[in-house]
Order: sequence, then C-alpha cells, then structure tokens
Amino acid sequence: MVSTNKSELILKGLLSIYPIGHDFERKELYTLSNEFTFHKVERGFQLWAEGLDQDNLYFIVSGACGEYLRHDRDESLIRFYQQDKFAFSEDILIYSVPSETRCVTLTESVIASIPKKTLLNETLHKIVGAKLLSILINLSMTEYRNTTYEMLQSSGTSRLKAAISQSPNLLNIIPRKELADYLGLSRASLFRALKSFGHE
Amino acid sequence: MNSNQEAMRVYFQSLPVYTPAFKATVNSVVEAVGESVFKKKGQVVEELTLHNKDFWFLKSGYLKEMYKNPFEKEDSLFNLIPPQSIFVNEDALFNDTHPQHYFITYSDVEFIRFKFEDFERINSERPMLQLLYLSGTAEIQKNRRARLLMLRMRNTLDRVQWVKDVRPELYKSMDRSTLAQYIGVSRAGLYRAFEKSNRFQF
Repeated sequence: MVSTNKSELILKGLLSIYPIGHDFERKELYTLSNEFTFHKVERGFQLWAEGLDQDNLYFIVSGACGEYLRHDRDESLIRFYQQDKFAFSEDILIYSVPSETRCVTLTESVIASIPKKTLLNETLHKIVGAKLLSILINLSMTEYRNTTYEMLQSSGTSRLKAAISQSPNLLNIIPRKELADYLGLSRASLFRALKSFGHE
Repeated sequence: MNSNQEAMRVYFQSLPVYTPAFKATVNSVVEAVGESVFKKKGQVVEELTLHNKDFWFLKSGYLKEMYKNPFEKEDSLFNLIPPQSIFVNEDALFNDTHPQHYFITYSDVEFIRFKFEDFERINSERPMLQLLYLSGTAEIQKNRRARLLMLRMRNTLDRVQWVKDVRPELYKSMDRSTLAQYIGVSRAGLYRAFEKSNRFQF
C-alpha cells in the first residue's frame, strides 16, 4: 500500500493511458493505484530478468530504466523508460512466455510495482483488467514503432534528433554511454551529433 | 470454399500457435473475409489510408509501408510487407487516430479485408480469437525487436547480411534504394559499402 500522494501519481499515470468509458472504471483505477508498492533503488537494480521472472507492471516514479536484449555474445539497449511511464516485459506480462529482455535502472530511481496476479485477477473488474491489458499491448506496439522511427534515420544527428523529439528530456535522463548504445552510435559519433546541438 | 478463404486458412494453420482447437474460430474468420482487391504496381492504396481498424491479408505481391519522415525531404519506408501477411493501420487500431502511414504497391498485389466489426463479433462468440490476435502481436514485437538490433549494427554490410539471413524473401525482392531505407542507411552509404567490399546485392 502507498500513501495518498504517491498513489495519486500512479492514478495520474493510469488515467494518461486509459480512456475512461464509465464512472466505475475511474473507481477501479483508483483502487488499483493503491495496490502498487514503492521501492527506492540504486542504479543497476534489475526490474526483470531474462526468463520467467518478476511478472510485474512497473511505474517509474523518478529516474530511468533501460531494457536490454542479448544477441550473440553482446547485449543492446533497445528501449528506455523514463519518469511517469509504465514499464513491463510484454513477454511475461502479456504473452506469459519467458522474457527475451532484462530491464535495469540507469540512475537511482523510485519504482512502483504491482504483480500481474493482482492486476488481472483479484483487484480489478474483469472489463477493466481486459481493457488495461489491451491498452498495454497497444502501448508496447506503439513504443516499438517509435523506436524504429528513430533507428531508421540514416545519420547520427538525425537519430539523435528523432530520439529527442520522442523524449525531449532524453539528454538529462540517460548517461552518455547508454545513449550511444541506444542510438547504435560510437561514443565519438554521439559526441559529434551532440556538438551539432550545442551539447557536449 | 473460395480461394481467399483457403489462403487465409492456410495462413492461420501455419502460425506457431495453431492447434486443432482453433479450427472453429478460424472457420468463422475465413467465412467473414471479403472479396479480393487488386492493385497494379506503384499505386497508393487508397483503401488502406482511410481511417479503419480492419485487418488486411496480403495474398500476393509486396507492399511498401511509408511514413512522413520529419528529418528527411522525402517520405521514408517503414516496412516492406511480404505476401501471406496480415497487417493493420496501427494508428487507427491501437490509438483510434487517423493513419499516419500509407501503403504503396511494390508489385502488383492482391489483398483481402477482414472487417473489425466481424473481428469483434467473432471475438464475443469465440474468445480463442483473442489468442490468435495476441500471437499476431507477439510475432510483430519479436520481428521489431530483431530489426532494432539490426538497425543498431554499426557496419552497413552487417545490416545487409542480416536481411539476407533473416528476411531472405525480402532481400530477394528489394531494389537497392528500398534495401537502403529498410536498413536505415542512405543510398550513397549502401553503394559505398558495396563498392568498398567489392560485394554486391545479388
């Protein structure tokens, strides 16, 4: 359980993604927002790991998280989650299969979480649970599409511009090393692109 | 059963998630599909740019999914859709907004519509349709993740090799300009990479 102020942050986050159709839905979301638990965590804290693990829906109260995908002998930062956004492994939460990705905090962060079981089975009216699940699928699909837009840009500067247009405070929330990884650029190319923006 | 229904049935039966338990659900879906729409190469497909949440099955040919790239002078390729695929207008289906993407035929094409209202009707009668829907979105996610890894490769020829290995059906069909857009490099950059390595597309 959380204090009123904190649960209000989560309610606000839920209302930002969930279009209310009936009054009872608002009430249900309010109940749901009170079920989240809060954790203050250090940089490098793992929200979920590869494999079936930690089937939670997370809300980033402060800080930022990065989602990594392993390939060959390396891994890449494929998505990041910033303050006031929901984070989840769609593999685990939606498709109930082992997660291909892992997610860690990139900075000291405050993370709220709720287990899938509470989210879908116990707390919520079935209609609200099903609608929320469907919204999370759409959210995830749209985020992947937006990330693809960024990565389709053929120059480092355009990639950086595209990423900033999606997340205006990007440069303040992601360390440069992770940003270079996220954009698929060498650190030298990232710094050249940043220079063109007047940031170094 | 007409050929459209048969084509869609074969498609569903080829999905990894398919088991005989889906038979009745798939029957309901294929019975609801519409007539074929035919388009010649190089056309903008008007039916797909209108606001609709329908599901579309590309029976034959290739479609270029395009979007307005704010950082380039010309519109850019988002995806090349191969035959035997289901695709949707994501803005309309997921966000109930006007489609931001449009589709151009890359060859002569034939496609079929499965109306959203039929999806909703069948879904209320046969909840297993939701599982087919979920498996479809899961497949899209998986493909997008894999493509994002490719787009982060720093070497252009590594990206080309990825398309060759992972999407051979697209690789064989794409001209260089389309290939360059698909892998997120400029056309000149792709040409330089081919010349430097003394390798060519085919």
